Amino acid sequence: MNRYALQFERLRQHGEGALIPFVTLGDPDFERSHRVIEALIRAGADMLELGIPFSDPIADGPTIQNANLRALQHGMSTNRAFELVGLVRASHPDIPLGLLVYSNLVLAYGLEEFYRAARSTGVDSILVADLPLEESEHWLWAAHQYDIKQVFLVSLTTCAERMRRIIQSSSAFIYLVAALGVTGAREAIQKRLFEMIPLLRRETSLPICTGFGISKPEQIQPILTLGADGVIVGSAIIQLIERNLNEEAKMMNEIEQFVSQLKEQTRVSVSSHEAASSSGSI
Amino acid sequence: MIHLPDEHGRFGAFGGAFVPETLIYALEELKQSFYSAKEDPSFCNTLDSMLRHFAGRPTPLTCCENLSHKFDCKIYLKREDLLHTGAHKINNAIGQALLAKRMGKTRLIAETGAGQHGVAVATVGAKLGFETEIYMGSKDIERQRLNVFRMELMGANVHSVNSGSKTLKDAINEALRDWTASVENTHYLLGSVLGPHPYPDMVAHFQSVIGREAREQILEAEERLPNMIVACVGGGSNAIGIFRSFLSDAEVRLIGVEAGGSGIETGKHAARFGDLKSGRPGVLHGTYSYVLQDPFGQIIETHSVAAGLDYPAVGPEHAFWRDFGRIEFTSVRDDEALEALRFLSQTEGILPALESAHALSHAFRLAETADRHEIIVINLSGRGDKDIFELERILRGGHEPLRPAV
Repeated sequence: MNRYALQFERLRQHGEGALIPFVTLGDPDFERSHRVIEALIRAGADMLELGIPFSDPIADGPTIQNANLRALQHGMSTNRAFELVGLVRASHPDIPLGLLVYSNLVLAYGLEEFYRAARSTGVDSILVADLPLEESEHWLWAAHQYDIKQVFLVSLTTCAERMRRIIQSSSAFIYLVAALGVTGAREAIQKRLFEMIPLLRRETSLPICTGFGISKPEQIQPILTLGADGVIVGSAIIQLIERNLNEEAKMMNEIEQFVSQLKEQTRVSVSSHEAASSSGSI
Repeated sequence: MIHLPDEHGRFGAFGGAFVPETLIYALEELKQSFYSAKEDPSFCNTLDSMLRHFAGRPTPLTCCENLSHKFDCKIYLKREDLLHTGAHKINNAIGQALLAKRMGKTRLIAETGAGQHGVAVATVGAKLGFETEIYMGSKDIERQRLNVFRMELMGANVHSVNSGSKTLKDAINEALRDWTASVENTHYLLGSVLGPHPYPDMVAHFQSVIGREAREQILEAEERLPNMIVACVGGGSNAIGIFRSFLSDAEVRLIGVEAGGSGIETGKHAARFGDLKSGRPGVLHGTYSYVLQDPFGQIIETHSVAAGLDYPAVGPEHAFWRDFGRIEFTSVRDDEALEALRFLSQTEGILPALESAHALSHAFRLAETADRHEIIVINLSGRGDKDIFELERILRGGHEPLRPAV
């Protein structure tokens, strides 16, 4: 079953963008993480990106790094992460689930073993944060073998020729990294993002989802209007976990409220773009 | 001779570039710039002149008569400790800073553990007019206050890193994050033969001046090559720097010494090759090499009295030559390194860095059984001035005068 294709198609028919929350599996601990994920789904998450915690997450900022460390301190491991994904899958058979991992976690588990385990747990896609196209040959083979969609990042500094090669190896969706990382450079980022989304749109019929640095509901519409199909929000949600570590009810309430606000912004009718109509290649 | 690395930065199975897409552009730019600069005579001349007139190259190859007499074999030291700023780190800092100039960058960032690399970068940054920012774990800042102050004197801004284990590996995480956001005007001046391609090859290239000089010097002094060359290995830049010139000389044993910390069996060490259980190939900071990790691939925290050896991964070129059988590896404990440090100080009047003392300690073991015609060269990668306060704390304890070591 191609859950991504079905979900993107459903969203398209409703004129909605996809809201994709990201959290780290096991943050702050196994049980609460499970309840956070349930809250995300209740609040309207269309798909989920779930991170397996790693001690040295170089692609993430301090907020997500701390989430990783909290989860590890509470005994999270790759096996426990799969266990948690399995629980989510059991109660939500249709929601697309993506894993975000670092390459060492996969290598330590065994490349093929990892993809096999992901498949049998009900994972739909895998994004390896520190795996560029050049290193991905065996990984793509494993993804193909176990029917997992491999997602790659495209950044604002990715040149056009490289972008085409990344698109060719991608499935499920293209993850466009919207930020270079720092405050202050925001204007320049905006400008490049505005150029990049239409450029990608012309090159691919795969859905384009934008993440990194999206933390406010009002940032969502301009991105969708440019032609993106979804937004990924991580740190802003994780901050709500971090801020309410001693008050679980408040944690869940704030997360649910925030995520519904985000989802609301993806419902405001998105200007139609022809490219998204063909979902056959997803 | 095998030509390494390949175009993807692979040393056999090791190396490569495991980085987020956001860094690819910067690495591509760096790769092009480095491989063209290294063939450009005007770049090479500028580099050579600065190594000579600013850093103090060539460094001597000192024959240690007293040691040689004690052990009944010939012992030479390659004196990187005599360089400006006190260690071999300046060779690479100058090379990369000149490259950054060539690329039109105006800002340098670097990680540092013990502070030696940070000091070298701050120094070169001042000399060549860069805005310089150094990332350093807050734990290391406490241990190495003197070096922090030295960097500040050179006009660098030192950032305290409070995440994770608050040491070198976290400083690298932070520097990589800075670079992701600042690629356009910033060069990340990585200090060892680690990280994504082209860093391991580039840093090795800038350090290989050590081996070129050593080879010439030993041939002049002895009219033959040494039997053994010993160097300490954290990331492995001083070691690869001296080893590269001797890789094709099968008769020269090349020996790398890792930090044994409190002993391999205690789990408190940084012996990536020495720990058969936790030291396995994996990816850390963009390169595939031997990494100390738990069964699920989480990186393990390391321990060594020498901050410069206190890192969970080793350079991919070392991993390749070790598996190939060309470079041997062993480890030396904290207490053994301290003993060697005192022994060299008293015997030859040279205070080595704690890192280099690991190489000395193993070289002395080898010397015990060596034949009188044998020649051992030790790469004395740095001087011990930076360790003075730490040494006093460990060795003296109270206010008693320090008794001579036996």
